[in-house]
Amino acid sequence: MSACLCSATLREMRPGEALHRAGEDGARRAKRWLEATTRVKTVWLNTDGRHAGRMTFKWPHDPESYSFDLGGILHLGDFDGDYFVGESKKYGNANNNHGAEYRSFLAKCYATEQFMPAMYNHYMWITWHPFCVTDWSILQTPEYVVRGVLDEHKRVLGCLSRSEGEAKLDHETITQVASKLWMIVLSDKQEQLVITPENRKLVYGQAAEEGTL
Amino acid sequence: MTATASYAAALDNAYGKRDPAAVIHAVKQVIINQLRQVDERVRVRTTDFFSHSFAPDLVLEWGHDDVVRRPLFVRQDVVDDYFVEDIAQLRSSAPIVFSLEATAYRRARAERAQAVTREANTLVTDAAGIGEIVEQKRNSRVVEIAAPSILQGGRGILDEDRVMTVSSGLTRGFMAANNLASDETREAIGLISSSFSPQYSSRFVEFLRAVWLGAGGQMSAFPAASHVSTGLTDEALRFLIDYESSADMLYWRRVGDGLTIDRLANMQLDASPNFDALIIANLDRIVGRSCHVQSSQERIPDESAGEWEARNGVLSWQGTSITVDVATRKNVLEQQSEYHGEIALDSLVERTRRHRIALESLEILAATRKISYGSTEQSVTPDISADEQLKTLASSLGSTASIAKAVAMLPGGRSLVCDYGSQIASGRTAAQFTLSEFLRFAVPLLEQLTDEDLHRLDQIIELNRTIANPPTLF
Repeated sequence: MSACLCSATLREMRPGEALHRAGEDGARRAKRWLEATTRVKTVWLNTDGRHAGRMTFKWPHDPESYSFDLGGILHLGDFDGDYFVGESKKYGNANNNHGAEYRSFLAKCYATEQFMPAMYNHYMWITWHPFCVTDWSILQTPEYVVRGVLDEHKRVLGCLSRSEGEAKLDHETITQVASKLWMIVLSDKQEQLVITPENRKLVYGQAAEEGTL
Repeated sequence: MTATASYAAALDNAYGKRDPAAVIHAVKQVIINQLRQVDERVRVRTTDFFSHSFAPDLVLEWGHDDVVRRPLFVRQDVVDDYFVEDIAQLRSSAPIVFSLEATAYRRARAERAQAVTREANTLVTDAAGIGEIVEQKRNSRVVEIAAPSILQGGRGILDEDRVMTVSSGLTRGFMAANNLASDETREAIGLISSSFSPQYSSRFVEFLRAVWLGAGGQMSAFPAASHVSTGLTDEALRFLIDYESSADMLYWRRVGDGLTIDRLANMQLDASPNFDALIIANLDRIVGRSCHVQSSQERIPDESAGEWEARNGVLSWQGTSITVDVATRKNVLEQQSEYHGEIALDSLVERTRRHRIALESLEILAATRKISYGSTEQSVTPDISADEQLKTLASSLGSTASIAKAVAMLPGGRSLVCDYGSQIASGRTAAQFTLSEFLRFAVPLLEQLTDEDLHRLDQIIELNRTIANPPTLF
């Protein structure tokens, strides 16, 4: 069973992503883009001291921990008040073992979903570069989630082999994770194609004055 | 537990909550509690957002008719790498950026960060900065008065050290203006300009000018240009009234040039010792057209509360058993006047004798008849109050006769008509009278004064006379 780590522990451990400047930049850009959709109340980054602990979890069968890059709460519409966590990959080429990272993300989602089934409504993979294009249409299916979890069979399931892991899979959790997955592909230009500062001011400025923010 | 430790514990407690929405609510409450210590009058609205790039976490509001509004954005910390970009995003709303962790800039970047935030009229602060404002408020009346303005119009990075610098600079500046020390006053003006947005900076400079003027300094010698041509702004005047209590009447005389009842009433000034001093020092300068006098429920005088107040077009004096209202428009007083009646002739004559007031004419009511009594002499208007014929007339009319109006003769040949029906005194035309004249003539004619009220009125008039006509050698 994984456990949420406190920020003090995190500061001692400093998991890789938190210190990775490029990763941090990507996470910030993902946050900025999400906010520009006007559909998030808050986006927390795991580089934000106190928030990091909230997005860091212990692998069920490994002393190490994993973390998500960002998390937050969605705003308005059908998603109003929904919680999400996600990873952002600001990659400019295809040489980053992207597919393996995505599958590891799926394993993290599975572990998190098992640990806190009702906590997160959405798991978002935000990337600036396509990957696994031949499998693109199945990347969010339960079958692909299974593949991701089995890739991490040791840490997630505590098994020595994939075949042993298959027997231990919780298919209800697999289905849940698959249904909560988002694949968001951004590009540098696309980041600019959002609500303008002028219109943003109209929306938020007016709401602030009316007390409806 | 220190304020900073207490804040840190409250923040830890907030972040200890499991549900993110509960965390957000609790963190915002910690911040709101901090802000309220700086200014208890601030209204704070929370939004649905938290630590969002361009939707504020809180909206701070002051006032009701003319609402001053400033958004507040919460940041985990203010990291200099992303700082400029963040400020650029927010600058159009000139917000407050509240850093949950202590603001810490590498020395080399501190100046740049200060310049960027000031230029964007953005205030960046943290718990230690806010805590220090609260601390400094306890030590300095100037900082206490300035504290709401720091939230409304402060700019730049206001961490703990900077708060200490600004606080001591403000306090020194006001002392310097009070001592007419040009260089130090100029230095304070520089500090104010960098620490407040132009609108608020201009206000503080006007406050300094008010102190300078009160201390006897020349307007032209004040080390900053003014956007007002003469006198003080309303805000500067209010500042002086709210500022430390001063019984120096000469001070209030110096700042009282150009005061009008309408201006004071528009400012909605509550009774206070300083406001009393301002009015009394300028009793011979403030003019009105009408004065309403009525007896009121006896009250125990409270020196700390003050006797004068101004609101709704009226300047009022509250004695122990009477209320005096002075206005520049008669209809304002008529609205609040109830029919009072008339006064017997012998009572009126007694009042004129007791208060040494000359009467020019009278309007006498006798049953359903009205008699005008006055002099026919053209060149000189005699005092008719002691006329033997008047006594005879009154005696023959008997108890049915009463006085409806009495016209007092004021120095300079002006006439003040006291109407006992409405208890209002005013001139025949649009004549104006000073507060001194209303208190000296209208009040004792219109109402029977208690010894306490009479003594206090004499005292007020004499205080004003001393300050308005200082003794000279020749």
